[in-house]
Amino acid sequence: MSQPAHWGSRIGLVLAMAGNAVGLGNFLRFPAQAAANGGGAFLIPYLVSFVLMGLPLLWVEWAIGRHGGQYGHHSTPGLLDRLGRQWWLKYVGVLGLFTNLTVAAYYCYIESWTLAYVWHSLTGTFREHAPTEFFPAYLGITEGSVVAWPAQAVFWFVFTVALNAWLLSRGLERGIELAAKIGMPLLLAFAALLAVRGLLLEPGDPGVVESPLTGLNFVWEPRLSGLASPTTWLAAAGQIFFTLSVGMGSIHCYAAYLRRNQDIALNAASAGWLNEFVEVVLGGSLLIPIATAYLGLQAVQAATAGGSGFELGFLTLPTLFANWGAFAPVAGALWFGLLFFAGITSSLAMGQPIVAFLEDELEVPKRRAVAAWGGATLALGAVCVCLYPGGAFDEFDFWSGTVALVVFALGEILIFGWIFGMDRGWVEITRGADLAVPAAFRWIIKYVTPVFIAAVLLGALVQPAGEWSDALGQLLRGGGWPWSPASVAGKVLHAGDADYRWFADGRPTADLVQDATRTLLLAVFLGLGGLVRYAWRRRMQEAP
Amino acid sequence: MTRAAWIMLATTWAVVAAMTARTFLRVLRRSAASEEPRPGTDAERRDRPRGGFRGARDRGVPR
Repeated sequence: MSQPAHWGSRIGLVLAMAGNAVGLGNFLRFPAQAAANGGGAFLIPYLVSFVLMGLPLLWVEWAIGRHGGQYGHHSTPGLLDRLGRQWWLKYVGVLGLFTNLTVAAYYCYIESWTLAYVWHSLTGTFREHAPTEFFPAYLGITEGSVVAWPAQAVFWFVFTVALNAWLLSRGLERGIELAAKIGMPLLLAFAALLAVRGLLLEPGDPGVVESPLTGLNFVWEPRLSGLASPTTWLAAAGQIFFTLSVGMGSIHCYAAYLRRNQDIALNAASAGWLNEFVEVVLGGSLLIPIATAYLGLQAVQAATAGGSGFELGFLTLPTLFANWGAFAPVAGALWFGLLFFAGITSSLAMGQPIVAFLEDELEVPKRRAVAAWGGATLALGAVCVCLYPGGAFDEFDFWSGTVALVVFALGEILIFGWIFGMDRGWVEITRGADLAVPAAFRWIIKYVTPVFIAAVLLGALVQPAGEWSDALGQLLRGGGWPWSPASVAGKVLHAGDADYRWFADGRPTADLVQDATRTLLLAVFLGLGGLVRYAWRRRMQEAP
Repeated sequence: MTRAAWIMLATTWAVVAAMTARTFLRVLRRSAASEEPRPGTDAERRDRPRGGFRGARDRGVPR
């Protein structure tokens, strides 16, 4: 077992947990999701999901972490193993290693883009090259090829992974906690500065074609008809799920460094609400209002129709900042800087569980454990980098960053509520609590939250192309279920891919890349399962 | 912005900001209270009678 490590301060812990939750999605995904799913009305299912699914999951994950941490475990196989006598509990925990390792691989790649964009904003690259031309060239995308060899992107990616590894090697207090204490206040300051500057734009300012308040109205105007649609509810629950970083195993890991009687109820609620503040107040006031001011509402509506603000954030905003005169390079650096801080505080949280697993369960020294994490992240990330045009990156995002999280969260909440038991679970959540957790959550955790997560999982599995009501009507008329290509079933069945084949004219296709990536992810999962099996067998043999 | 959008924005911002402030300020208060240095040197604290009862008895206060 590793030497017992603990958080240096309570503020550091809350900021690290909030930093884990605050990610690029707070600024790029939330506003687009809200605008595409009912505007202001989206906030109703969003906040309901936060209370009935987000907060309970936060408390459960903190409780699982603190409980297992007392036995010297800091990663989900060991933490879940301590919740019951069933032999398979540790294998459910493999999902917590799998998501952290594989999500970090592509997440560090996105993080490296933000760092590269800070550099290029400061050096004035976007004054000479439009980001719409710069970005595909940066990624090494060439027409008709599924492979990329982007030297510059590789440099920034390696640099980003090395930076993460260096911080992880400094340990909990001098690495992760310090990064959160510096990164989170800077992120808040950068976001507030840009939001104020953006919302004060007026028609008549250079390049401004519409009031930014029109964009704000687009995000917040409630379209109540959306509330009747399951799509809106699933989108809101999904957004809550991903924004809080639940179902990953990183919250468990951080909480495992708490002392036995240290509060988790207030700390978890505080970290969760801080994430909501960054997302709802700051995230909703930046991307769409600024883009609307310069591009007009119609262009922004078209760009965010799919529920993602990624295109606006990376391809459009750098050009728009050029209208801010001498402040342009700084504005670009602030925007991508805040995205970078949002990213690195999350990627550190993905690295620590892997490092902790190697240290705790396989007795690997810290530096070697960090090096192993860095090497694995680079190797898996190389697949995302080099096969980006073929869709490897999207496959990682879908299977690891979307499906695996929901499956793991459903597993852990059922284990906590039904195997560990709510009597013990409630004691664990409320021990040392500085916040009176309403007793209703005892029942919510056991019954309501699992149903909520199961609905999200079912929605992801069988999501139809188009509206649910239309799809049900089609099914009842005997026309079959119109699988969405974005659903799990649709991905497996290659729905909407009429020309499915591995090679075309002797050259590999995107279908081959996607299937190969899925096979790789499965192999990683099985490999981690094998490591867990080896670690436990080894311990059994060493036990007196 | 429409009136409905303003109402939605103001309500949501108020709820989120209030809950964030309420929980985070409480963390700050608890954190400050637990990290506040106790008076005296380490040696003085070690030698100081523990518990109100012994202290009270030492000062001659009847039980």
